[in-house]
This record gives sequence, C-alpha cells and structure tokens, in this order.
Amino acid sequence: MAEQVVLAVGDMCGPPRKNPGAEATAALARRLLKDHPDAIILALGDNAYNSGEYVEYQDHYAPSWGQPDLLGRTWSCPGNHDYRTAAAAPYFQYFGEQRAGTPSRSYYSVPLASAGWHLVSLNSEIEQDAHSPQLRWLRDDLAARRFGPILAIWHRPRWGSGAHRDSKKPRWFLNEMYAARAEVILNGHAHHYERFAPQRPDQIPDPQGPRQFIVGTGGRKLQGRTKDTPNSEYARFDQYGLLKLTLRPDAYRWEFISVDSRVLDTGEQPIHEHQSLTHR
Amino acid sequence: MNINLSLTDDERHACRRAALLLKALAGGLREAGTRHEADTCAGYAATLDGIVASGECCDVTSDGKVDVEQAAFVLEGIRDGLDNADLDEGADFVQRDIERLNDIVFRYNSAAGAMS
Repeated sequence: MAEQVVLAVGDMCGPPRKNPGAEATAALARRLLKDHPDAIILALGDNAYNSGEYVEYQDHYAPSWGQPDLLGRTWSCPGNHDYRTAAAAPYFQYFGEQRAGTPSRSYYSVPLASAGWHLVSLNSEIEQDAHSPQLRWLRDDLAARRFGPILAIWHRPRWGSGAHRDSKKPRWFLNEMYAARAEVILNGHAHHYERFAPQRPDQIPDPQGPRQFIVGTGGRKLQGRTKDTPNSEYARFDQYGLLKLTLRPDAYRWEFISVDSRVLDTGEQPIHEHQSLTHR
Repeated sequence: MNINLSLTDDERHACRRAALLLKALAGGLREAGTRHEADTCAGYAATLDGIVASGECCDVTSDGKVDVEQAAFVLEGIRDGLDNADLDEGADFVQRDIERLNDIVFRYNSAAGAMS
C-alpha cells in the first residue's frame, strides 16, 4: 500500500462580500493537485452559504470548488447552513448519493484502500445520541470496517476555541471514535484553524485518543478566538487555507497551508499501535 | 416543511428564557437605532414564544426552525459576553439553553430527513 493525500476544508463558498476567501482556497487546492493528482477532497459542511439552496451551490460553489477537477474527487458532510433547506435536499442532490448520502441516510463510509484507512462521514446536524439510527449505523460500520486507521469527518466540533465554542452533542460520535481508536477527526463550523492533541472524550490527554482538527477556513469570513480550550496545540484565526493530510498505513502527516502556500502548522504521528494489526 | 415535535419541559423553558433575552436585546437595539436588527431579534423571540405557547407538542415550520437556530447564535454572543465579564454562572446557564435550542433543531432536521 502507498499513501493517500487528503485536502480538507469547510465553510467555503457564498456571496463574495461574506465569503472573500473561497476562490483563493479553491485555487490552492488546484495547485496542490498538480503534485498530488490522486488526492481526494473532503468538504466539511456549510459549503454554499447562506442556506444551502441549489441555486447557491450553482452560483457560488460551482464556479470555484464545484469545478469538475475538484468536485469529481470530493466527499462531503453536511453543515447547519445546508439544513436551512428542507432536509438539506439540495446539498444531497448536488453531491450525489455516493459522495454525500441521502436526506434519509446522511452518513456513509468509504475505504481509502491505497493507504489502508477507513473514512467515515457523519451528520452532526441531526440526532446522534445512543439510540439514534445514525449511532447504531456507526457502531456497525466501525465493527465491519476493512481497514484499521479511521479518519472521521463531521461539521460541528466537540471542542473549539473560536466562534460557537464547544458543542456537547457530538460527544456520542467522540465516544465511538475513542472506543475504536480512531486517528483523526476533521470538523468545520467555526471559521478558524485549530489542532488538538490526542485526547479522551472527557478531554484527558491520551495518546490513544483521536486528534481533532477544525478547518473552517475555506472562505467564509474568519472568526476570532473566544476562549482557551484544553489540549489545543495550535490555532490560527487570521488565515484562509486548507489542511493537507498524507495518510500512510503506519502514520499520518498534517500540514495546514495558507492560501499563499505557506505551511503554517505541520507534524507527523504514527497510528495507534494495535491498529497496524487490524487490516483484514 | 411543517414538523410536529414533542418538546421537553427543559426545551420549553429554554425557549421562554431565550425569548426574554431576545426581546430585551431587541429593545436595546431599537433604542440604538438599528431597527432591522431589532425587528429580526424580535421575530426570533416571537417564534420562540409561539413554540412555548404550543405546549408539549408544536408544529415547527422550516422558517421557524431557522429562527430557533439563529436565536441560539445570538445567545452564543450573550454567553461569550457574560464570560468575558467573568459572569460565569450566567454564561453557563445561557450555554445550557443554547444546547436545548440546538436539540430542537437537530430533532427537526432528523424528522425532516425521515420524511424525505
């Protein structure tokens, strides 16, 4: 197995006055694809403001992030603004069932076979507690996965130092991710970049826990810090950019790259020990 | 899309308190001369009052659901302001109400998806 490059960002497109960074982040993705033609893109929700209407996807998303060279390699999770339409139907119509799910089944998983990772996309905008259909599906999906290392995406972060701060609801996702020894969680919603140390769901630092990133830097007006959050290792509130992950069977590397191509945050971490044995 | 939701006591109390805060904010904004924002906040409050008045079961429209979410966003600002002023207990109480409002939004979204 080789490696899989992932470009991830959320909160991108909309009216230029309120989404001044969208064109630049799409251009950055296109530049990175020249060096990584097999990279995939993860859109972390709130992709087309203000309401996720189909016309907003056509008018604002299509000219930049929705161009065929980017859209054809994009998987997504829905955001709260996508749900300002009935059941986020235009969002699901735009990305299609394979890349987004459906209004009635808005979560899915994809094996990233080239690197031996498991990608799971969840919906933080609907019910997600212990008895919800989504959580039951998640448990079954993680138990049946082909590859050990897990990369999970959903829109609304459990922890955050910027706008919106913490959200209690995704704790259910986090519990499952910790139990499955997931590696990486990617969120948007807050318009800044932030990286956390691996931690337990109750914020106790733990190298066996997942590492959470917030990458809400896709183009919507950036937002500032509102508090200090335990285990936050790095945060930027002043730069549009995207997160480049390089997934390998034994490790992952992260780089937060600003729209002027500067690498502002980078590091590498081996995957959790026991997971290198779980490839089935 | 109209969805009939069952609300818990906590959710209805959260709606009632959020409406009170929004009406006070709307009054202040009106005095300050920002009429559009004042009217918008008053509109969110009216939606929340309507939900409270419906009792345990209420019909929520798609616009009403967006009003609840917007109300939660405004409350986030109030929470952050209380926190900045070291009024911690108030910030914690407002945070709990934000979570209850979000519960209503999530339940509406789930029901809307199931009906699609």
